[in-house]
Amino acid sequence: MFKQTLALLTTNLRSILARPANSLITIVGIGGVVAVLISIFAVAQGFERTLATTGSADRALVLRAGSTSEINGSIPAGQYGPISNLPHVARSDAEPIASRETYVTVNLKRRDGKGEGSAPMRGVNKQSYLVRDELSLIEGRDIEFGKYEMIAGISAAADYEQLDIGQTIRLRGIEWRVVGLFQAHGSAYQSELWVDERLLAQSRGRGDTFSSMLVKLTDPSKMAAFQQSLLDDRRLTAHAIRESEYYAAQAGGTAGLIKGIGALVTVIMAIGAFFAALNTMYAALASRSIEIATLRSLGFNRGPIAAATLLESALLGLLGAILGSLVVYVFLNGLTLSTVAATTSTFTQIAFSFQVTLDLMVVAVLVSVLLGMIGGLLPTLRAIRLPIVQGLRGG
Amino acid sequence: MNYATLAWANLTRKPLRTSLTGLCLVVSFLLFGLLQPISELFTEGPAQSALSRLVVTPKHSSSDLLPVHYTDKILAVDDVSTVSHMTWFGGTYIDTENFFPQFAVSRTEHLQVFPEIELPAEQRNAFLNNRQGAIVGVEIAQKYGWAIGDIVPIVPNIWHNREGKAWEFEVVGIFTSSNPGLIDNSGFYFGYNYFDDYRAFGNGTVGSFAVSGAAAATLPKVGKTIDGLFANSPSETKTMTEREYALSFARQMGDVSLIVNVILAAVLFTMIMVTGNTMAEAARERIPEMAVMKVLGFGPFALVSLTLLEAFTLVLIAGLIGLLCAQLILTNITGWIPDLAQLGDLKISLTVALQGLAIALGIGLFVSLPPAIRLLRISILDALRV
Repeated sequence: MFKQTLALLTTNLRSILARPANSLITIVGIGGVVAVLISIFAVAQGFERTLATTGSADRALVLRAGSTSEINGSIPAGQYGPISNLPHVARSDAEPIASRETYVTVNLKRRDGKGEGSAPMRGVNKQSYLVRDELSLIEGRDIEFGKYEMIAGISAAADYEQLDIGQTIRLRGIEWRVVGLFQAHGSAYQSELWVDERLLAQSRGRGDTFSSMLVKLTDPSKMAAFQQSLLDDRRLTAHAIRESEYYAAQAGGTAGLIKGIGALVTVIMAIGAFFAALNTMYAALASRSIEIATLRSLGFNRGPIAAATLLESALLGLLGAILGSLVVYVFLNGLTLSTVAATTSTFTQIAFSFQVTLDLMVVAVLVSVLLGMIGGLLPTLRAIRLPIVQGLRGG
Repeated sequence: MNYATLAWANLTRKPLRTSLTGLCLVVSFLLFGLLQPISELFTEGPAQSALSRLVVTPKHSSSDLLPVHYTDKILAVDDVSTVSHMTWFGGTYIDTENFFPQFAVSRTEHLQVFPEIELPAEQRNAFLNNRQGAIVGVEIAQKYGWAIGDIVPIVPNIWHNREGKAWEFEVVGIFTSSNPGLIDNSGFYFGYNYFDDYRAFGNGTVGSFAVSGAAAATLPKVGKTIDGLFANSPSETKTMTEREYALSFARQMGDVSLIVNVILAAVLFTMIMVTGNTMAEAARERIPEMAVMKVLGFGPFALVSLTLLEAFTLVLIAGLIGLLCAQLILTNITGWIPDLAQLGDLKISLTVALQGLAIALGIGLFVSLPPAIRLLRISILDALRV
């Protein structure tokens, strides 16, 4: 049986080459499905990964009680001390590692000419760098506190005009000068603009309050204990969220949208490619009915004939997968894109990169081989059931 | 026997191939019908009303606020007849999963500026006279089973009140929107006065203004005048037409729209290639038959039209079925992908239908022209030998 299948397979493979147009059409059809499948899910994954790598499990984001986002929080300045001295806060040289920050969004002109985007601007202090060890300056210098200076994340600098070093941004009569660019391991922080926290709060007339605090804990497992101690202190009007969870939640809406559209489109397109594969294989086997009948009269069994044909169509699927992933990989891999990350009260632009992962490729190959095989199944069954006499007459 | 019967006979000669090719085409048009309205929404924004309105927003950030006393200054601008304002509330109902857009609005003016909000007269009066009253869109009223008189607690995310508790509103009206693409039926509006008196901070500020009265042609000029009033003040404004405003939100989706377009192009390219080849092959196969018809006295025009008619019949029928299926899916899509609802109302517009028709005619020509030309050039003798 195995020997027969192998012998037939070589003939069938030659027949793929003998009908290049038809085979190519099946390959292109399946390749299209694969390309769409990979690109949609690469976008969704890239976006989710950016937000998932933002934040760390051992850092707590402290927000005003009841708030689910940084943007409109206002915690009285006097609470900074008590919160940073709560149990489980990590210390460096006896100083708590906790940073008070002011967070706003600013409208900036996009470089691609698509109007304005909403960029997050964070007022920071020296502690902010201590808490976020993933941050590093890659160009220019850091801001000098007390001056209207700004460092921009590399994703923000790529997205918006006026964010090159030496340029200024005018907001409410104040000119902020860009003095440096930073990276943060591909996280959402790269989409932010950082300025002096005191100056930002003053320029916004926010009085003696801040938006949020980022606190490093001694251990990720101490999160619940820290949250409880925050709640237990009746003086404090704040609550804490694990930082990684806060960012993961922001991916929800947009990622859900992309995945929803993606799943729908991929399924429908797969159905289309299935019909196309079916059509090609019917035509291919119909034109080979004399050949198949001859083989059977020579003593080949139905099983090996069917197996060889199914392997042939699976191979077409595999070639489709290779074509589709190659096209996507060459043209789109590593592309930087941006879209919104939304909570109930913020709407900011986050940049992320398009990444074709191995997992996605494996799924794509499985889907396409399966598509090729089920596309070949019905035509194969018809071909081997045809009585030999009828087959010899040409079907 | 007329040409239509002949074309139909040709199509049904190999029913399996015809139906598989047809199904491929149906799928292509289905995808086109699904993706094109989504892409349209990203690039054009939601469907517009015939009314010309302006939206006055804070210049530097959507999270900024504007002083409510701007109302009078804007009202003094020529051509402006009514100014309403709204403030994003951003709270949740019961828990953070239940989110729908809520706004504090200037009640009288809001209903004047947005006549799309349709309310029975007695509910309108109740809204205008009840400080704690709220009007809710018919969709969320149904979703949460609210009736007139119900008290709805909303947990604030931004706007804490002075007692630090949930806000309570009384449902006094349930509205339907006459243009759900622009003002959807899941909105929740309540009076500004109660909101401003009771909030813990930010008193006297609003999120944005909506301005009506100016004719469409004068909108840019009025917008410039308004922005000029507040230039160089601590709260500068940016005035846009309603269309520009909606578009600026749609554009925030950024490169997601680019991806939708790339996919749309890939889908159409793949499917047209796949079906085009099969159909062209079917036409090629019949060249000897056509030669016989030539012998029988059919003119070249008749033969070419027959080839075209056959292709067009298949493509148009498949296109129609595909677009109908797409419309069917679009009306139910927000049930499957709830996140899509935030973008606006999805349907196959006249433009999309016409684009679909153009694509159908294009495919028809693309697949039938090469065999038709060959048919015209080839001699009968050669054709019979094919």
